[in-house]
Amino acid sequence: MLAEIGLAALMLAFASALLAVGSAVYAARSGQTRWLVSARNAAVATFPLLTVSVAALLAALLTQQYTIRYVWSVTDTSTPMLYRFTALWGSQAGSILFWTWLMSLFAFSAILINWRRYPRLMPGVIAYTMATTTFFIGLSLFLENPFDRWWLDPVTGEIIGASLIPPGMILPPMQVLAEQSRGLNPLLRHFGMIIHPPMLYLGFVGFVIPFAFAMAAMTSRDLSTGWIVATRRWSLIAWLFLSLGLILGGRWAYDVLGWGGYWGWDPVENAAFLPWLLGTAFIHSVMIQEKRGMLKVWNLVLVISTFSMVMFATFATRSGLIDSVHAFARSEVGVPMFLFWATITGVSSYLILIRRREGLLRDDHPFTNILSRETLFVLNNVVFVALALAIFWGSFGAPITSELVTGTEVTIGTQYYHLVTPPLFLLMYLLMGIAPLSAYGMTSLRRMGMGIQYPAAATLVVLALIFMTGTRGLGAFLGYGFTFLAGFVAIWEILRAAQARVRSKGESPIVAVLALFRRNRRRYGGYIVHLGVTVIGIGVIGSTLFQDHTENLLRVGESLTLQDYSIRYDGITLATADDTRQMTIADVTVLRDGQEITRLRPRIDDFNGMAMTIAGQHSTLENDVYILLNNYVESDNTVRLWLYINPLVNLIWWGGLILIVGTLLGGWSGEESAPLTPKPSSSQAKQDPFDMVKSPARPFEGERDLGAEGS
Amino acid sequence: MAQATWEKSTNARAALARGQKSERIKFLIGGVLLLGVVLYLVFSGTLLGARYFITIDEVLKDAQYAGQTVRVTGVVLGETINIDDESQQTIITFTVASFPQDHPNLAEALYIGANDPNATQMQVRVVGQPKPELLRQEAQAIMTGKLDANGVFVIDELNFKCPSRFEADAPVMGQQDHPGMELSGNAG
Repeated sequence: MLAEIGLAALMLAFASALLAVGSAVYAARSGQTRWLVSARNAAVATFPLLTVSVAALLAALLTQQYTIRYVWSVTDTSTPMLYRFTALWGSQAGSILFWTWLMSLFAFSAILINWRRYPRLMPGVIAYTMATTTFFIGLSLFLENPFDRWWLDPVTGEIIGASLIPPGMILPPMQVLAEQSRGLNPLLRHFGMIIHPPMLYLGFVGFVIPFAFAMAAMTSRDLSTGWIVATRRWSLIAWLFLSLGLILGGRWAYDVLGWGGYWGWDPVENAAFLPWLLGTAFIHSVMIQEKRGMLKVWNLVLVISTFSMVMFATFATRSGLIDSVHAFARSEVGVPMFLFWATITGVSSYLILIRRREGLLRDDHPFTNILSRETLFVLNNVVFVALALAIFWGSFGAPITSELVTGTEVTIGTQYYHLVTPPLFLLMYLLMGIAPLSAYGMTSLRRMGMGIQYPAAATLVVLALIFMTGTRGLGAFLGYGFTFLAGFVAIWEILRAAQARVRSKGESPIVAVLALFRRNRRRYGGYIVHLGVTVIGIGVIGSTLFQDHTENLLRVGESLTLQDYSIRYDGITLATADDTRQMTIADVTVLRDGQEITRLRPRIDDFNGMAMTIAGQHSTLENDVYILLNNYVESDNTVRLWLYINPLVNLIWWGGLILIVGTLLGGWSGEESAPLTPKPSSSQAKQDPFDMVKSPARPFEGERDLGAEGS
Repeated sequence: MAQATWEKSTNARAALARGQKSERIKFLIGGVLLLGVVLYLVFSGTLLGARYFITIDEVLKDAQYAGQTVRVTGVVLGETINIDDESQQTIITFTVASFPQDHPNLAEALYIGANDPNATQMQVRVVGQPKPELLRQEAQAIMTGKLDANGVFVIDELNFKCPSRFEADAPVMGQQDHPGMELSGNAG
């Protein structure tokens, strides 16, 4: 029954989303409000319908309905309840449905929230969000249907999967299915997997809203700052989730994959990082358009590239294009996804060119000074885009090009990223440090020098302290120097503004700081984000450049020493967990300078022959003592232990938390004020193949009434 | 007076235009420099990190790859896995076999490769790395390294295609397990 409910809801959602697209396009062409209202209602209905579909699949997973092929393939009778829940996104079919549902949630919220304020953009927003949603529902329905069931041919005994009952077939006995059910990949049985994929998916699908608004602005020719203002918060939400997804992914890899690292420059990791880089460039450059009316073409390029990269990453991960520990198996969704990605990228690029040629994207001001804030923001953007292009080339460009040109695939190893990315990240931190000190229009070197003197002095003091700890190496000092400078500038800017309030208004320092955040959350929230990125940077530098490790075979009572730490092997424990996995647990005592500091239990979990190494970790802000049990020889009770010292690695996770707080502060800003649709220019009368607005010079019929129709 | 104002305004406009031109030149020079640096980094990085992704047959038989660091894939033969735990560093040796690269079902391709007596085989050696969790019979190994003088492939970097789960094509009536399995799923 659950399969029928889920499938019916999915089909209705497909029809509803398709109807929304058609109605929105017709509304734009005819200018008739009733069609726009129909489009909205159909679009809004898609989300609850998909919710029913997702709930049906979830209920099937939780109640062990093994007649459903997806449930059979990702759970088994011993799967704990928690992982039955996470199995919803544990494999291709379920995760596409889950992804589509999240996208419909974003579309639902964005349409309802912005309905009254941006009537002229609404046809485009509905059309583009729903076209994307329709595409993904289509994938779910026609290629990766999570509601396919097993059917038994009673004559031949053959079992096949199909969504509708094949003639003459019956449901196989549940017991047979339960016995042969496959269970969830052990690597996915981790707390990180509960939140990492949803966060990443929210980040990915969230960018559909800025993309849809940008496309709506271009198709309606309403290229005022309205679409920028409307999408600011949506961009931040998507960016926040994507940041969280990346950080949690790193943490999951660190805890589960058993290699002492958190980022391996794997193509799938890179694919998720690319939209983050472009999205970060966008949320910076958009400020310049808001304040100065500049970078209009650039912002469109960035927002469209970000979404295009989201689609490319999805295609690359789900099509089997790349070999990666994170990739899905080869699937039929590859070709349609590639075509969809190519279409949206091509159409949106063409629209930008057309609108630029029409003169609708002229900047209000030219660049006047190389030290102005707008120039430094552009430089910052160039660095982000250069990073994105370089990483794209290494992950996808070089392998695909080489195979097309020479017939032999050339892959790019981690050495490439270790050479190319550090200078660009250093430049990024340097710009993060000096850009906040600049002013719009023009900044004198003297003014910048005065602004930077205290943060620079603080940075030098910290570098001297680091030197005194015995740290050496030009790379480390450049890295620490630029990251600390960026952080101190952020702190200095907050302190300087608070000090001015203390002087002028006689407030206490704490009240002054709170008042700053209340009055300009966006700016000061941004500084907190910079602080978070600084802390992450310090963690990355420390853990990358100064990670140390050793290994050895140990008998009971023997020790392994690294730096001022030693670990003693005390014995082994063999146990069976509730979910039937066999656990081999090493009991280890950690000592520092001969003094016991903790006891750890690194272990190997064996899921029917598939092993998973769970590290023992002693975490402090200074470092992680990270121990892997790599092998246990039962005959002589020996273990091979690997001991890693990962300096400052925990700053990465703490920096992530600071970044979240800063983004929430900045995104919570109530400063935005959106203009109601401004008068379009005379050039808008020109038509083109992508023009959905028949008579854009006049307001949408009943535009003023949309509020009454709205929520 | 009127003439003086006009002259002043013309001079100011000319000065502004000169200033803008000079800034434009600065932007241009800066942009070209930055582009040059990025292109240089990408070019050098590509030369440093580029590895041919070739088959076992190619690495063993094609002279152009001799002594070069290359990336090779093969299927692990489980019974050949040997872990030398007595040394200071872990030394892992095993044999990989070639398998049909264009087969639509990876699991079946790996099964064929592992059980084909005519498949080309290559011994590999990896030193100083933790024993990979996924090293076992019929796993797909993706290896970066060089062929040494003894015909052993010495690995710098070793990965395995993630067997996220054993996904049989379909359950079978009256059978507990199924030999055909597919490596698929998502770990990220």
